[in-house]
Amino acid sequence: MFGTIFKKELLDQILSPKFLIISLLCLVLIPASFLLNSASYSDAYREYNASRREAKETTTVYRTPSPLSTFGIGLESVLPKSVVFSKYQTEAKGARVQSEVLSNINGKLDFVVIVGSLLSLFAVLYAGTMACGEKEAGTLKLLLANSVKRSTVIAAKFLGGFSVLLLPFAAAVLIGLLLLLLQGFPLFAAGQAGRVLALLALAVLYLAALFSLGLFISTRTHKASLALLAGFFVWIFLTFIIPKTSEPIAGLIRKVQSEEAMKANRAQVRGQIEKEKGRALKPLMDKYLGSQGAGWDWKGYTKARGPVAQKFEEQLDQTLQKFDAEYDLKKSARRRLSLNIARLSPTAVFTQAALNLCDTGVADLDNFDGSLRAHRLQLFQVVFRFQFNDEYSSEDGHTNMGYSGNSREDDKIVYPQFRYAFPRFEETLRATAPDILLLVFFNLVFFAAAYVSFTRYDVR
Amino acid sequence: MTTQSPILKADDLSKRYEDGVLALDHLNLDVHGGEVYCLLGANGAGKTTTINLFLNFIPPTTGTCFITGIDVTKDPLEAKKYVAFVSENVMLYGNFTARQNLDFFAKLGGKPDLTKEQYYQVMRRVSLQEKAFEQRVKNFSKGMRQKLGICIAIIKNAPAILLDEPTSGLDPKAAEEFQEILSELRKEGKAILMSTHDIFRAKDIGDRVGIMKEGRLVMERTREQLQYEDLVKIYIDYMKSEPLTA
Repeated sequence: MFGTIFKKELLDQILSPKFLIISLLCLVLIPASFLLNSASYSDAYREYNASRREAKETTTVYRTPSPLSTFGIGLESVLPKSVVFSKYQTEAKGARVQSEVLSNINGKLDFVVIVGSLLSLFAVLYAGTMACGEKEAGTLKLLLANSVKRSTVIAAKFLGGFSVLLLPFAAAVLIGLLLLLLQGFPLFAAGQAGRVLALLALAVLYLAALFSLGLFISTRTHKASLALLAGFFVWIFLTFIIPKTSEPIAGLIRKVQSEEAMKANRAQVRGQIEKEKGRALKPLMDKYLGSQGAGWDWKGYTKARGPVAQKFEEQLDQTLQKFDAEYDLKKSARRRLSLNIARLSPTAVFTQAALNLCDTGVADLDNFDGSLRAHRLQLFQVVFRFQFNDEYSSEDGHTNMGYSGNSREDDKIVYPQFRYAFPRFEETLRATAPDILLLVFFNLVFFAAAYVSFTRYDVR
Repeated sequence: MTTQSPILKADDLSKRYEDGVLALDHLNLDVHGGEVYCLLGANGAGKTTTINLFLNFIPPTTGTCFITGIDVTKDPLEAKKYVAFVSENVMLYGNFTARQNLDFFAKLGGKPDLTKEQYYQVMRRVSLQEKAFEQRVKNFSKGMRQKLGICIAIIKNAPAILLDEPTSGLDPKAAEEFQEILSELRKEGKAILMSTHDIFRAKDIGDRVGIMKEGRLVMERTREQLQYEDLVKIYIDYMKSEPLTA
C-alpha cells in the first residue's frame, strides 16, 4: 500500500508545473553559484599567494581563503585578508566588505543561501498543499475511503513529495560538481570531498525538516491557499525574523560595550600607565639623553631604562591582556547567546553548521582569532618585548620628551611562522554535531506533529 | 426484502458535532445485498453525515455502523475493504489519465494485478468514451468523472457501495446512464446506500426510500408501498412540517 501511494505521489508531483519550476531553478542556480563562487575563491587565493610572496617576514599575517567558500561564503568576505600586529594592538585589513558592497548589501548567492532560503521556501510551500490540497480537490476522501492507514498515507506523502524535491536538487548538485571538477577545483583535496558530502547530507536533513513542517501546516489547514499563506509566514519567521533578531535580542540581554568605547577605555588605561612609566624614566632621560647629564648616551639609556621600565611594561601588558580577555569573554558570551537564540530556527541551525563545514562559519572565526592570539604571543616574545616607546610630559605641558627604540642587542629577528590551518574534518564534525542533532530533532518534531495532526485530520 | 444479514447497518447512530449541532439522531437503518436504499432530505438533514460515519471519517457520538457485520469504529481498515464510495463530485488526480487513476484506486482497493484491457472493459461498461481512456482527467466533464468514480467502485467489487448525491449536477442523459449502472450493480448483489435530492430518481431506483429531517429518519417506504403513494407529496409534507423537537 505504501509503495502504491508513494509512486502516486512521485508521479503526481513530477507531472505538476511545480516540479518544472523547481527543476529549472535548481539546475540554473546551483551550478551557476558553484562556478561564480569558485572563480571568486581562485581570485582570492591568487591574491593571498601574491601578498605572501611580497610580504616575506614581517609582523603582518595573511589568512588563507577557504576553498569551500565556493559552497558557502559565510564570513569569508567579512574576515580580514591580513592582520598587522603592533606591540599593543592588532589591525585587521582587507576584508572584502568594501570591495563587494553590493554583495554585502544584498547578500551573496551561494549553495548555503540557495538551500537555506530558496529551496527551504519551496519545501514548505510544496509540502504545504499536500494534505489540504488533496482534501480541497476531493481526492483525499476517495483515498481514505479505502482500507489504508493514515500513517501510511502521510509517510508515503512525505517520502514521495520529498523525493520529488530532491530529484532536481541532486541533479543540479551533480552537474555543478562536475563543472567544478572540469574547472580544476580541488574537490578531492584533503578532507574536501568529505566536507562536501557532509554539507549535502546536512542540506537534505534541513530540507526534510522544512518539508515536514510544510506537511504539518498542510494538516492544520483545509484550504491550499491558506496553507500557502501560513507556510510563507512561518518561513519568513524562521528564515528572517529569528536569525536576524537573535543578535539584537542577545545584545539586550547581555550588554557589551561597543568596540570603539572599549578601544577608548583601553587607550586611557594604557595612557595612564605610560604616563607613570614616563615619570619614572624622566631622571634617566635627563641623565643619558638630556642636557643635565654627560650628553647623548643612547646605549646607556637603553640599558638603564630596562629595570625601571620593566615593571610598568609588565603591568601594561598584563592589564591590557586582562582587559582584552574580559572584553572577549563578554563578546563571546553574547555571541553564544545570540547563536543559541538563532538555533530556534532550523534555517539558522543549518546555516551555522553548513558554514562551519565550509570553513567560513563562526567556528572558523574562533579558529582564526585563536591563531592570531597565539601568533601575537610569539611575536611579543621575539619582537615587541624589545620595542619601547618612552614618553614624558610635564604636568604643565611645557616639557615633552619621547624616545622610541629597540633594546634588542642583535638585529637577527626570526619571525615566528603564522600557524593557521582549517580544522580537520573530524574536528568540524565534532563541533557541528550539536547542530546536526538539532536538525534531526526538528525533523522528528515536525514529522511527528504532521503525523499526529493527519491521523486526526478532518477529511470531509 | 431478503432475510439475510444486512451488509450496511446503522445501529442507534447519533452524531453531535463539536459546535453542539446534532447532525444525526438515533438512526437505525440497514441495507441488504441486492438492495438500493435512497436517503432523501434537505441540506443538513444528516445524509452525508451518515455516509461519513460509515466511512469512519468522523466518529459517532453514540451507536455503531456495521459493514458486513464489522464494526466500522473498532476495525475501520477491515470494514473499508468491503465498501466502495462515490462522492457528489468525484475528483480524481488531474495529472493522471483515466486508466492511471483506475490503476491507483484498484491497487488501493486490493486489486493489484488488473490489466490495461480489464480497465478498458470497466470503462466501456460505464460508457466512457474510448478516446478518454488515456486522457488526463483534469479536462473531464463532471459526468465523465462520475462515470470514472463508479468504475473505481466496480473495480473494487465491494459488497457495499456508498453514493453521496452522485447524480447531482449531471445532465439527464448522464444521470440516466448512471442509474442504469446502479441497476446492474444491484443485480450483482451489491448493497447500495445513496443519498440524493432527486426524488424522482430515488423513486425509480430505490428499493427503499428514507426521508431524513434534522438528523432523524422520519419516514421509510418500500418500492411496493411507493407504487400507491406520491413520494413528492410525502417529501414536501415532511419538509413543510413543524421542526422536530429534541
